[in-house]
Amino acid sequence: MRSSRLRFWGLAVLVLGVFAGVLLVGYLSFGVRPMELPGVNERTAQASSTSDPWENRRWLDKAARVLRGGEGLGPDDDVEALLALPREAAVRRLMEDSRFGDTILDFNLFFLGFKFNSVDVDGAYDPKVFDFPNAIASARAMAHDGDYLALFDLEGPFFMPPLRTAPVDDPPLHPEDIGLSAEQLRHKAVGELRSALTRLVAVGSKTQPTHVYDFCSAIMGITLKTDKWHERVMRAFDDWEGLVLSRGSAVDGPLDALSGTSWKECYNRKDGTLPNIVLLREAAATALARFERVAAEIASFEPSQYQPRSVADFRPVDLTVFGSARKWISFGYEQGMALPNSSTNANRRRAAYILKRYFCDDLTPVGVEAPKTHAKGAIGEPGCQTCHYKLDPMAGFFRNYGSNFYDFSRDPYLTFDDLAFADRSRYVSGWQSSPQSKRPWEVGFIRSATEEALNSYGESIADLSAIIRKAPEAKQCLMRRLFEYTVAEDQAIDAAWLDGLTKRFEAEAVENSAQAMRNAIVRIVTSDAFLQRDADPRRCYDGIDPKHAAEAPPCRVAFLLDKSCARCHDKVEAKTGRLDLTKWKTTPDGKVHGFPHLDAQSNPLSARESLARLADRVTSNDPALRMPKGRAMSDRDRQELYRWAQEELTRLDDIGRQP
Amino acid sequence: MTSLRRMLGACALAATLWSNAAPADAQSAQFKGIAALSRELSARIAAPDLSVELDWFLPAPGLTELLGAWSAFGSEHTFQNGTPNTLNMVIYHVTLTNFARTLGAWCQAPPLKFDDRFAATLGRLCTWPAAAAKDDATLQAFWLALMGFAAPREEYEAWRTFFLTSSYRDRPGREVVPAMALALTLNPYFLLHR
Repeated sequence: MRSSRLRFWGLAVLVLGVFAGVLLVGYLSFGVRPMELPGVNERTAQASSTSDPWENRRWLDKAARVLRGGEGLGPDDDVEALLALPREAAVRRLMEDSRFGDTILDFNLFFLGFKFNSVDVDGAYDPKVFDFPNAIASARAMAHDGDYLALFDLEGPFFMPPLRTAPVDDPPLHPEDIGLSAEQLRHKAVGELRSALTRLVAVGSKTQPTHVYDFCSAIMGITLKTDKWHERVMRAFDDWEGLVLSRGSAVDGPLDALSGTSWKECYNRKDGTLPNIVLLREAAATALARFERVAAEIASFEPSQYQPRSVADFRPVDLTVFGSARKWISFGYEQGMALPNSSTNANRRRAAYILKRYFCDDLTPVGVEAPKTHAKGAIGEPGCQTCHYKLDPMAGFFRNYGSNFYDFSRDPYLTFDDLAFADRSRYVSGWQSSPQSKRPWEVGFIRSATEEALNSYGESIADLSAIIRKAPEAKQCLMRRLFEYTVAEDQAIDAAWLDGLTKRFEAEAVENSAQAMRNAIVRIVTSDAFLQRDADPRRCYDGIDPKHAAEAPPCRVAFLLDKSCARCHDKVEAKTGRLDLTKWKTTPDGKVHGFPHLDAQSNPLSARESLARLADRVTSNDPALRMPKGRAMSDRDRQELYRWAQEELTRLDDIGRQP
Repeated sequence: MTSLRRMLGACALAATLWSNAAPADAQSAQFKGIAALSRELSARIAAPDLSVELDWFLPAPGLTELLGAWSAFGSEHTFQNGTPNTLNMVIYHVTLTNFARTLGAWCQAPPLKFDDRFAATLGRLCTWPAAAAKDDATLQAFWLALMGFAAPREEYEAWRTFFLTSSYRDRPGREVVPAMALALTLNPYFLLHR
């Protein structure tokens, strides 16, 4: 009896557990929402501002979490004092916290598409974060009202993490390194080359001019083994550190310069005289001095000397030690892996990344009008040109950058990430303009395939950085991502509200971009969307015009339709294509919403057919069909309209399948 | 007994059908992820300069990425496995059960060092069913320390009422504290981003 009862309760607990689990998963996954969403049309929703202390604390806790690197209110916070402040002042107070720097860094990484779970690991900054120097430069700038838009710079300063404390290889690759700590191994590996160069300088100083060829041999004894020295030094550094040393030519730079001088003096003299020993001694001393400077700079990042506690503590590397004052390209080791330049993609992967991350253009195929100068080859097909008309010119900015974003502009060849080689001049000629062009290169940010005046052309990474800084699209993308980061990635945003947010940011950024960014954060953290609990992702909570009727189009596209379409399609008449895009009404069957839209016989079109036609017209390649007719519409707006129509069509299909 | 079995079976079936019938476009809130939850908890209950990491309580190492994480190397990072499913809910359940048991074990021998205020609250709660443990201030302090203000007040009130009126009413603190912590941390308002 007892065992039977136990079995029953065991079964009961099991079934109840399944029931609760299914309910929980169902609740977590699907939430509770009506099938046909009245909220889509509700443009009069207002803030949930309340005098309820619990709700006020909820807002403050959420704001603290967003603004302090994920850490909400804690026991040490003076909650009452913060609550006594107006919300804007409370947000500004929270932004004074040192953890706000981590929030900005985290957001910058989100903007760049490389957000981590946390910018720190075990109490120190994750070394991988240092792969994104423009994110760091921008976050540091926020601390002292500097140039937040350094985020848009694709080259600039470089910030190195503290050198690793754990061994690179355990056990070490070379038996003689067994037992050495990571720091000791670095000291040893760097010291080996330093000693070799020091000995060389000593040999040079003792060598008589008549025995100069002995010195030549000694020099070649080192420079002919540059690859070996590179490998010997690199064994003490991990992939991230190694990329820094390789890109900075820490080993190759001094040795190649020495090799160049010795080759010219020792083996390529035309006049038959002896090599100039003074020049050779100077070259050896210069190589040693240059390597010493690199070694000293790298050593200054030993964890015993450098351990940043906040973003403001991050220290840039003195790039002059690498032999030139070149700016550092803002693509590190991980982006080198994620954005490879293969011999077949020819930098288009990198171009797609720039368009997506800096311009919020994810290359949704929305068609393109045929360019005035037709593209040739396989990608000249209209279907391909939908993307390639802007992808290829963007790729041209990276034409000299090969494997791991290494700059090959001073080399005769270029190495790809798939280990293929190409003659560089031949490779880059793919972006050369036609002789009739005013520009040397077909490189730029292309807004229109037919109107060159709308485009921004350039040649270099510096030009691309300047284009991004100037482009309103990039600032709007920044504001969109800030909203997504702060509220939710899938939360609908009223395009007019986003437009207003962007315009204010643009105007303020002219004076002070860090302050403009803080102001934008204040606007979003005090927005109605941020205040919502259980927000409906398809509903816009901000920028809602109370004058709009309940039958206004969905907030996500209402502004776009109003801006580009409603001037012609505002009534159901023959001259307006029998389409009214100013209204979004319940269809006669009462099941769904749609635009008032009639066919040629004045019969109502179904919501499905109407949306399908709209999607077709905004993406058509045919100038006779493509809408808006005779007017420019940005790709971003076109993509947004197209994606919304596609989502609505999917939703209609789902509703149609329901019993 | 048979009718009860039928009823339970029907409930499970109904729940399955209900969840499957939800529209495809319905809201799909994402998990905050273990890292974000740990940061939140650390700010509220960890001793100064220390942290509380929920991955200490995972049933096995390497499961963090199944619970909603910004991950991937060698491609752009996206938030992965953030949509609740049966697998990650099981892992969450086990992880949070381990965490809750650790709080219960604290009543007998503190295995973790917490912020002094939270430790004091936990200490009072451990005296359950004593009146001091059932005091609203103690219960609310415990709730807010773990949940923050993410959930509406009604959620707190339902939780409090359940423990004051159910069979937990008279059980010892070492049993009630884990049950309270588990019920609280499995609440969608604790786990989900929205």
